[in-house]
Order: sequence, then structure tokens, then C-alpha cells
Amino acid sequence: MREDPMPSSLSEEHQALAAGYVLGDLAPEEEAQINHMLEANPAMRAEVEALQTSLMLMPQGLDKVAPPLHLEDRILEAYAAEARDNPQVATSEIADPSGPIAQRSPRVRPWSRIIAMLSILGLLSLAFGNLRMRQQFAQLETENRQLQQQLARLEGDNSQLDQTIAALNNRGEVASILQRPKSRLVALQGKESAGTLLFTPGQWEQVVVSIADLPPLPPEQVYRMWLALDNGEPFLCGEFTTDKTGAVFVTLNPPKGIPEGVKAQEVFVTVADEAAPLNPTGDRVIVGEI
Amino acid sequence: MARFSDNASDAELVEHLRAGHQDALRLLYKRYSGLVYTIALKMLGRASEAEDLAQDVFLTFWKQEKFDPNRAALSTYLCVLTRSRALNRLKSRSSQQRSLERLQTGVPAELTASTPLENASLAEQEQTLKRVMAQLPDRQRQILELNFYQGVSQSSIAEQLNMPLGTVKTNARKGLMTLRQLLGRAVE
Repeated sequence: MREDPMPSSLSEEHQALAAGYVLGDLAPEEEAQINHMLEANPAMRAEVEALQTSLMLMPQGLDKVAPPLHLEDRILEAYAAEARDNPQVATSEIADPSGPIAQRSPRVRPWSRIIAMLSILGLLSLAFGNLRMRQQFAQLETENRQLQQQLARLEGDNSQLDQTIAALNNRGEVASILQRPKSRLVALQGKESAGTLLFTPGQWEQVVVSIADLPPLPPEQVYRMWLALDNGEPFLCGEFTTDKTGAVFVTLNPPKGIPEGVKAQEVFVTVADEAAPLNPTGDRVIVGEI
Repeated sequence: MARFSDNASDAELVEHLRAGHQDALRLLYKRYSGLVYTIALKMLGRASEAEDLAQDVFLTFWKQEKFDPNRAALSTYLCVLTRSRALNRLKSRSSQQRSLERLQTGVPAELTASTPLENASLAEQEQTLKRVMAQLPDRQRQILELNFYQGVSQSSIAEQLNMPLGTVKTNARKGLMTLRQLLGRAVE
């Protein structure tokens, strides 16, 4: 593969800006500058894309390590198991081609064969067999419902356990902040979610966030918590995700404090792609007045 | 009976995978398991965790169905997916919180159309990247790799390497610019 030299219409300064953008190390004023350029300058957009591709291709240069032989079987077995358990993600090869699996319990199938046998024995015995089959089917359905309820309960327990672990991990921080004389609790309100922010004014290096009923996000997305400062600048407190129920209880540790003499007026949370630049763009899903 | 040959394109295999053909996953695994496992092992350092992550990546790839063969090369997509998942595991190792520090890792949120280099064979890509990475000054390569594979922020790298933050930033940017310049039109 030949790599032809790269003539670029961008100055070295702008190329460095693009590199900083891809590496995520821009200062706020640089970020404003490049955001403007990305909108107005196709060469800058192309450069950013080429830099991102270059960075992402770095692993191709690693000396490849062959995975252990058993890994292939392990992955294919996991695939088959998941396809069995979740027929909606599986398709023709796994699913019964004669109809949707979800509508027929596999445990009931032997009864259809019994019905066929009963039909040979005559109408009377068929009717009798049918009646028994219906009773059995009803029983199986009841069992199935009970199992699903148990599963839902277990999943609920698991979720509660996760929350408990998180709560235990955060209890120390909460106690520590509450012991400070000026600690404050701010109510956070979203369309369907609500929560609180615990902090000490002037000591933004540690805040505790508790929110319920946020929409759970796909894996590549995160929630970001921001402060709106009275100098007009946004300040990133940190990012988090929720558990399956949309709840979060987490301590955030912003790496730097807000500038001296500047006050926070509002706190808000946005949704962002994990790798998106650190800008408070997008809808504010929950806000609180400080 | 196999519905497709070993020479089937990635796009064809992905289509078969989504149609429920396990053989497609087997072939995709044969093509890309080395790449996925290598990245996982490089980032996590433990074979057992690298195996778990490789399984996670292939099953997530199958279930999410987010990959669009018309918009990205599968090798790059799997690199990004593996790295992103490995960074998540590194984060959860150190803390439940996703710290700001590890945000500074610049994974593109969206992949762009495949470039000539991404359309080349895996062997060609490996050969090219090996040659180009070897041309980077050691310091630049070291900083880029710390940032990329370990998600380490530039301020932490400055502490680790005992050098001013500004020097780390300059080296990281120069390293990436040099990498991109050496790859030239192959990544456009």
C-alpha cells in the first residue's frame, strides 16, 4: 500500500488545532475556533476525518496475538445460547421455520404429536385427549407466567443490589459533604425524572448526584453534568450512566475548580456520545437552580 | 450446507449474520478475532479479560446491528468498538465513576466512509501501520499510545513521564499529525 504525500491547504497551526480536537485536548477558546472552522471550512472537516481515521488505524500496526483456540467455540456457543433465549434477535437458522417461537412454548410441542396420534384412535379419544391437552397447556402457561414473574423479581433484586452497592460506595462521600457547615442540596427536575445534587459552594472538587427515572442510554452515550457559571462559561462536573431502571447515585470529582470569584447559577445534564467534544450541546434533560 | 464462500465480502457476511446464519459469525470471527483479541490484550493486559472482551465485542456486534457496511470498514468499526469497551472496563477497574480524565481520548463518535487504506487487506494495513508507527519519534509514539490504549489523560501522562503538560500536548499533537501525514492520501 503506497501512501502518497499529503498536500494540505491548512496551515500548520490549523492542523495542530485539528489534531488537538481529535485528541480532545483543546482549550475552550480553541474549541470555539475549531467549531466555527468545522462549519465553514470543508478542508478542516476533511482533515479532522483523516486524523480520526489515522488514530483509529493505529491498532492495525500491532503485532497480532492469536486468540486461544477455545475462544471460537465459546463465542459460538454464547451466540447459540443467546439466540435460543432471545428468539427475536435470532432468525431462520435458530428459530422454528414453521412459525414464531414466542407464541408456542417448546414444552408444549410434544402434545401436538400426541394429538396426531389421538386422531388415529378416533374422535372420542381425540376429544378426551384434547381436553387433557388443554388442561396441561393451561397448566404450562400458568407455570410459564410464574417463572416470568420470578425472573422479573430476580432482575429487580439484582438492580436493587447494584443500587445498594453504589449507595454504599457513595455513603462516605455523602457523609463527608454533609459534615461541612455550608453543604447544600439542590433539587433537580426533568420532564419525567427528578433528583438532587449535594455539594459545598466553593468546593466543587466533589459533588454527589442522585437522580431517578432518567432514560437509560445506549452503550456509546453518557450523561454529562454541567454548571452554568455567571461568567457565561459552562463547567463540566463529570459524566455518568444510569442503571437499567434509569437511576444513578454517583460522586463526581471535577478535576479542576471553577475560577475564583465566579459563581455557579444553574446545574444541568445533557446527553452526549461518549467521544463527543466537551460541549454542553443537546437538550437539557434535567436542571436545577443553584 | 454453507450459504456463502470463505471469500464472501464483509458486507455479505454481515447480511448473513443478521439473517441468523451462525456460519457467518464463524467466518467473521476467523477474519477479525486476531485484531479484536490483540487490542483487548494490549489494553487490558490479562488473557482472561481479553477473552471476555472479545466475546462481548462479537456478540454486541451481532446484537446491536449498528454497523453499516456502506459507511465504514468493518476492521475499523471493530477496532473502535473493542477500544471503547476496553476503556469502559479500565474505567470500572479504577472507579465506578467515569472520570473526566478519561474523556480526553477522542474516539470519533461516527466513522466516516472507508478510506483506501481501510479497504486494503488486513495484511497490507498491518504492514503500512507498522512501518509508519516505526517512523514516529519515540516520545510521540509513547504519548499517543498511552493516550489511545490506556485512556490516560495528558496531565496524567505528564506526571508519569515527568514532563510539562505543554510538552505532552505538543508531542501528542505532533505525533498524530506526523502519523496522518505519513499515511497521506491513504486515509482521505
